[in-house]
Amino acid sequence: MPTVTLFTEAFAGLAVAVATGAGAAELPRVVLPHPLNDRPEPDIRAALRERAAAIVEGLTC
Amino acid sequence: MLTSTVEDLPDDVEAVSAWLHERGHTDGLPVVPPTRERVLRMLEGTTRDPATDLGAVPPTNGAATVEKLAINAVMAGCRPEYLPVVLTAFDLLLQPGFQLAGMQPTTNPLTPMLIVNGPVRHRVGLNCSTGVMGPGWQANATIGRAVRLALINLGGARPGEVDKCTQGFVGKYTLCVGENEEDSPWAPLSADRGFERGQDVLTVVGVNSAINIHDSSGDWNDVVKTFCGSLPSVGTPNVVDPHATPVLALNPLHARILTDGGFDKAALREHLVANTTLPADALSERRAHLRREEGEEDYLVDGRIPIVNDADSLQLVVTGGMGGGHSCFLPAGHYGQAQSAIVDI
Repeated sequence: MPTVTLFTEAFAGLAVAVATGAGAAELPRVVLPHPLNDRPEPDIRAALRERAAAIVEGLTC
Repeated sequence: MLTSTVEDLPDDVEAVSAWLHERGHTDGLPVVPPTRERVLRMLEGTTRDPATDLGAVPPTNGAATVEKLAINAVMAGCRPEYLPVVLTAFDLLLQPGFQLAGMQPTTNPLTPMLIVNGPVRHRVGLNCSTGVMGPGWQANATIGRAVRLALINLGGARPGEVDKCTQGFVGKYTLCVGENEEDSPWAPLSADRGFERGQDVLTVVGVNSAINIHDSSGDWNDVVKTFCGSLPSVGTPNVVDPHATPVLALNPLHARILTDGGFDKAALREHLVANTTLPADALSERRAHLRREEGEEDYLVDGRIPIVNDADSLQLVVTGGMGGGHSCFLPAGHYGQAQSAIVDI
């Protein structure tokens, strides 16, 4: 199943470690700014919109 | 016999500690250099084959072989007779029900607590009495430390990198206690978990930092009232996990005083769980959402939010000395549950 993993910058090292440990080091990944918890929804939507192309690429590569 | 890579380093604590620390293989404290001779001596503490693989340690899935665990036990300062406890800890940590994969990278201040029952406590010199969760005893200090080092070195849980614990917790260096069976008025935790009294049993449970519960009254009414007021907290992780297995560590004096009120362990569990509930609207929207993820049917019990939905989930252990009226509650902050097994030599 096509998959892309989204995570914030603070969890980049963890994401790589988990993917590598699971034998999926090349798993398509898209990094979001950190933190997101305290940002208003429009900012979060904008951050995702900026990365929409990368997400689609990850799902179709 | 040994298969690990051998580095050309001097047998010197400062040099080896610096070399390992630069590579993220320590907890920040100096380590005993794991020379071939020391590792072989450590392996004399077990009958298990060094090549035996206990399983993959998440999230990086390093193999928890007996040899690798012995290396970490040397680094931690363990004696060979401690090794079976360290090995059994990994037998349990790698059980699916413990959910180590969730614990290792979490932002939650979580660590495995090791609780030991049976004669093995005395064979290895494990403190069960005064200062049981503090410094001063080699077995308590180094068994728990060996587990932490192996979680870092085999599971990749390097603080800040993979271990994303927001503030950390001093118990992540080591947290290993013996139950004070000799001063307890009750059957030990191991009996609650289905083992015969007198068997060497290890229980591992994921816990947060301890909440001290102080009441120096000799009246059981006072003690149980203080317990009931101290356990519930809207910020405590286990209120969002109805099936968690938190630990209530009673000092033997509190346990004896409670027997004056007719409490055995089952009665105390039932009383505490029934009388430490929170109102249905106590949780913030976010925390209510987290609790509801476990199932709407488990959200409330009799219209209230209990600290655990099933009284048997509350792990009661009697530990520490009788010098004062201090017990503690160690909330369970993840979705795994306590695991127990006989200590496998």
